[in-house]
Amino acid sequence: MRRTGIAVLLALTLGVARPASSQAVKLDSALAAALSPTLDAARADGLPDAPLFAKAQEGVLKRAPRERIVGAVAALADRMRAARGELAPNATDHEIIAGAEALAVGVSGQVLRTVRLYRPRGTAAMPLEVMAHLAWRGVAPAQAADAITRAVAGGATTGQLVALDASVRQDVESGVAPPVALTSRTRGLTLQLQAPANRATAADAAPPQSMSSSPGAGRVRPRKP
Amino acid sequence: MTVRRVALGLLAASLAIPNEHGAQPPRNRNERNHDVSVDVGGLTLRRRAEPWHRAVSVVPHWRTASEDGALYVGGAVSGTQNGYESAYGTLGLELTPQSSRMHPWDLAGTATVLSARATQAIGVATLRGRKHWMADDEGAWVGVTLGGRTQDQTQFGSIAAEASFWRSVSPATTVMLTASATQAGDFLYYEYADAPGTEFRLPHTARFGELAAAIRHVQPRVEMALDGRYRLGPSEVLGGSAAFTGDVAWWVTSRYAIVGLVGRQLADPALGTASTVYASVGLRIAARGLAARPYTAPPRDPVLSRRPEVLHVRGPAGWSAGLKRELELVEARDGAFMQVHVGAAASTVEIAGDFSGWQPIALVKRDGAWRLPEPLAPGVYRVIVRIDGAEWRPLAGLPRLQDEFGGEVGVVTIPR
Repeated sequence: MRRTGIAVLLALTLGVARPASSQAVKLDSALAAALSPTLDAARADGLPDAPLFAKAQEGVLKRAPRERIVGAVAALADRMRAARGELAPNATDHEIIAGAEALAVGVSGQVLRTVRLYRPRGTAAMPLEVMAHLAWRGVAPAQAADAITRAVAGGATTGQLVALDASVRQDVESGVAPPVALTSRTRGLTLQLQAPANRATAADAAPPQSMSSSPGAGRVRPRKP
Repeated sequence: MTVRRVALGLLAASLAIPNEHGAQPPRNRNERNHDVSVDVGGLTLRRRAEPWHRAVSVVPHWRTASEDGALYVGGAVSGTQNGYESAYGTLGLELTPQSSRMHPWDLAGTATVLSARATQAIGVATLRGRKHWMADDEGAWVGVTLGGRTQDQTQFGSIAAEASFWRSVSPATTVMLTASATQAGDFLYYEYADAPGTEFRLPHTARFGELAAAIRHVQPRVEMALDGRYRLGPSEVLGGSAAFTGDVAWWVTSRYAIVGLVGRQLADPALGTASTVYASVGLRIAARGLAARPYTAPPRDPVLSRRPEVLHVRGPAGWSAGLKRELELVEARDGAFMQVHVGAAASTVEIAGDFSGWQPIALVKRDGAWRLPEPLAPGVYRVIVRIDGAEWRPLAGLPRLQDEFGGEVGVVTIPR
């Protein structure tokens, strides 16, 4: 009964049409029922469920087979569970999602633990997001993890990480090989970090604002009057 | 900036014909010069053949740009067959700070020093400020340019006011109308290459106006710009004369482009430049391993020197020549609009991504392009697009990622 209720709730949730949506994609009841065990377990573990809903939605949109959708959602839940463990004891939802993205591109759990050592609760998401972004652009996950971990250990601020991410993107779009771009830009950041005045302070280590790839983080905003 | 990054070589043969109405010594009329030049990165080697001598020039130039402005350094060293040498250097700075995004303005300054045998050094400096008003597809600006020139221990000044309106008539085409008024002081003109010391004197104070129209058309493989202008004023400053410039770059492949330039320029009493008519054609080769992008000819005219869409549109994301451009980011107050170019025949275009929880969103057609109704906040997003109900696919020209469902998604970055 509870499972059926969750399935209905899930279907209703995904079926809610957003203001600009052309034709909202809905889950059928069979898929919703198949996803319920994964979602139940995720909720029981305290994991955020919005990314799981979004992953299911993505699969439906692409007309993937039901088994594949269920598998993708379960894999994401496993990655979030692993990320929460590596970022223990008090990871935020944002950090869990970013950690799962980093794990998905091949960053190791050890890297997540290292980032947590240098970044207190609520401030580890940005370094992990930048690792994922770098990997998306063609940097080897190990190199991305090494560069960002070193930067974090050196006291890089959130702003400096965002700037590093943007600089590498610009270089890559200009034709520079991704590993070369990261190496050269990291060298510049290292020089900045060697100046004591540029080291991160506790006040700077604030949660990132919107440089997020997590589902819903950049949803279409209502236009200001 | 584009030129500096991608240029490996440009072989251009040009034909320059001194304007019969130009402020030049009469004996220069109807004589033709033949230039052959080779650009390698930021260095140009030029050989000019004229009826009475041959000259060889080395023209280094370097330019770098960011969203906050650009810095330009250039110059030339020339030597002629008859032993006459000259050199000049120019430093230019453009400022378009991030803080001016809400109320756009820009500031540009140049300083040039020219030294030639048998003449004293000449210095020219200009400072131009402009205030812009911008909407999505149109805009206007007003600007003032102050100029100064020192020569033979005498200083001359100039002031020019300019007003312009531009409009994007399609995603690929922008038109611009400009009116300007200039007052310049007493200036001397020299024909350095031929007859040192030959001078041509304008009236003590020159006043003239200009009406100009420009059009710029950009496609993934072809970029064209055309500018026509008409000068109003007394005949001493070429009043009643018309001028034009045109350039085109056609990337035949991602590595080879044919570039062409043609124009007739009027003497500028404020800057001390002479009138010319010119035409050239060249082959541009992008270095292997570098991202090839369409060649943009260096602007020779103030109207086109600050193309409005550079301020207005951040530029294609992840796009390079050889790839069909489908996505453009149009800057907005809180982020950027995603604008998709998929051809005029499409009747519906939808986009989905992690920004929408993978719910499809219908794009709105506007001036030939399809635009997301609301801006996206800065961030990195995975997106796919569907046209006329066909299969979902990534946008061409974007970095791609494999998804868990056997397909691919494109990665879009909305810059801060």
